[in-house]
Amino acid sequence: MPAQGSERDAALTHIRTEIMAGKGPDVFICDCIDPYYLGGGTESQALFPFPEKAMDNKIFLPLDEYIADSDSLEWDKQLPNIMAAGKNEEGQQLLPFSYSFTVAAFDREKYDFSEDLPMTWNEMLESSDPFVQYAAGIISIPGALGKIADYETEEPAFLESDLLTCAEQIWGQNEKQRNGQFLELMDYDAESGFYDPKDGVEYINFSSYELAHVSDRVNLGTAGKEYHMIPIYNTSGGVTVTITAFAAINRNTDMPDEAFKVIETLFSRSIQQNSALYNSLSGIPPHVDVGSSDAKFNGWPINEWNSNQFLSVRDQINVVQFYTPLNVQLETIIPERFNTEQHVETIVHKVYTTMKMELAES
Amino acid sequence: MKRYKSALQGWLLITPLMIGCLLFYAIPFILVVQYSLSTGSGGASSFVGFINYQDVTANGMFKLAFGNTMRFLAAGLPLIMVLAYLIALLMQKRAGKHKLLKSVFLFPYIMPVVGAVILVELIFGDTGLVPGITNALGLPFTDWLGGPAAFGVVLLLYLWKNTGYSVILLLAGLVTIPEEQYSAADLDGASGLQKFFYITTPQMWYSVFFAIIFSLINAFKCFREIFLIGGTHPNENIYMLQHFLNNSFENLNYAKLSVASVLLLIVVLIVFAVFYGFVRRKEAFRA
Repeated sequence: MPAQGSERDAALTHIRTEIMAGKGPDVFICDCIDPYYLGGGTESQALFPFPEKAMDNKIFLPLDEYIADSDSLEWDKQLPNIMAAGKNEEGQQLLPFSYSFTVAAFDREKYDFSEDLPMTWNEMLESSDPFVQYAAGIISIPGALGKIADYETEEPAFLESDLLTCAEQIWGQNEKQRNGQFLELMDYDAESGFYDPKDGVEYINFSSYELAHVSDRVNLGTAGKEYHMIPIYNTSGGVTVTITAFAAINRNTDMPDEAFKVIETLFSRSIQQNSALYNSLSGIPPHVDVGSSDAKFNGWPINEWNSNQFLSVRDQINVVQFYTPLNVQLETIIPERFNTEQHVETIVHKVYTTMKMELAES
Repeated sequence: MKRYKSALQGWLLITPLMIGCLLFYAIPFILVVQYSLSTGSGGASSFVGFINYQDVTANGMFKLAFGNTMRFLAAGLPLIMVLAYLIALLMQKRAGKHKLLKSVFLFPYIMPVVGAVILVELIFGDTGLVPGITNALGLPFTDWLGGPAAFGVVLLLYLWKNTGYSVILLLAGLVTIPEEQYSAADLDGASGLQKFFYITTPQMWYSVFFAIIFSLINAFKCFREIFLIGGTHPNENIYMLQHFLNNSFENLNYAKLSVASVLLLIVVLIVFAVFYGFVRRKEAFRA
């Protein structure tokens, strides 16, 4: 499908009309995140803006029987908490095949970190540890709040006052960085007038293809550095991850067996390990061996120390949700606050009202 | 036989139209009602009764959209009718003389949607004329297009765009009233108001009815401008039912979309039936 513009809108309308009429594609392989949006281009819409609601609207085929009979899918080798996000009372309908989260990373050679983890979001804000404070500056409202939508009631999963408090807290953490309160981790650049992180201090967003090339400075492989990794913790003390791509089968397909064979192949270890498809996704493949130092997944060179750190953070995942237009709304709060003269209350009210509208229409 | 042939000819002539109405109106309408009572699509569709109606009517944002749409109609329709009627009455005596004026009234109506939106942005946008004036006067900044004032702006746009069309419709009715009736009333010493209530109004009910119907249709068409001004999710004061319908389609929630459409149809039909019954009674009384 065209990536953006009026051609994409026309293609989306065409497919949606087909689905409405009981036809449409047999297999859906969908990216939740618009790469052009990430790159600062024009935002374009996903085919299923709210995949979890689309499950309730009976668009997708329940796959439990096919999964149980499959030999090559290796269901027991896919992360169960990630895959559970694609399941409702009818069964497993969506198969997430990439997810992402962000960590603050500190070069182990230069920085010594010994704080007890995990902790809750509020504990991060109250901590006196500069590394924890720096990690709390990750701009991720879902990361801090956790679950953002209640699809049963079609309402946001938090109050407007909670969102305002969280936005002010994250803004406060960012202001500390801009005001040079982390001199042990940041250097002042006289040319730009801003504080930049020192060498060995990074924000790593596990959402880019070929992790080794996230930036020129970051190399998690054997030739690279060893990092302490601290995620942004949510209010319940766990890590929030976002599903960025999934596969599903049209409930009205005439060829369910053949359609499942396509998905089955995608989830096999050899495809997850070597296929260029997984390198182009905005996230981490769901196989349990991804992130292990000896697993050798393509685009995922990672040394033993970093592997242990990554797997430790992965074990703390307690909220898994699909990337939706709600995330897009939440991501506008801090930039809008930075770029305009509007009060944060006005921005939050506008965002919260838009979220309520989007959930009501989902 | 001749009668049969004549009837057959008539049926043959209207058959293409009937087929078109059946394919593009009747059958889709039945399908919409079916979708509103079921969940899923195609072979996966299953009947769920009125559960969808319960869910939609309990939905806060649907109530907001519905309320805003009804508020827009409740404010816009009377205003446009009063304004159009006043202008039509003023032009009544000069209708034959100033033909160009009648065309000028239609200019806003035929203006392309994008042109109207650009005009609104130029006047009410953040760097527009009105904010510039209010800023120069030292008044606090008002977000005319993104704040609560957007409802007033949209109403103004609707009135500006569609009043001329209603003036033409009402004027067409006014010029059919015989001048002799007004002359006779003048001889009897009737005042302007008496002539309006006892001569003009009784003969204008059908024209007013049609003007209201077209104003109602144009009110729903106003969504295009609101969409371009406010986007898919505008300020909550101008979040209309069409936004809810449009966005529900994009989320593939056809049940919700169908329910909202059916509910809107019911309300419009009730309003139409009430007013049509009123006009019919008035016309019957006059006859």
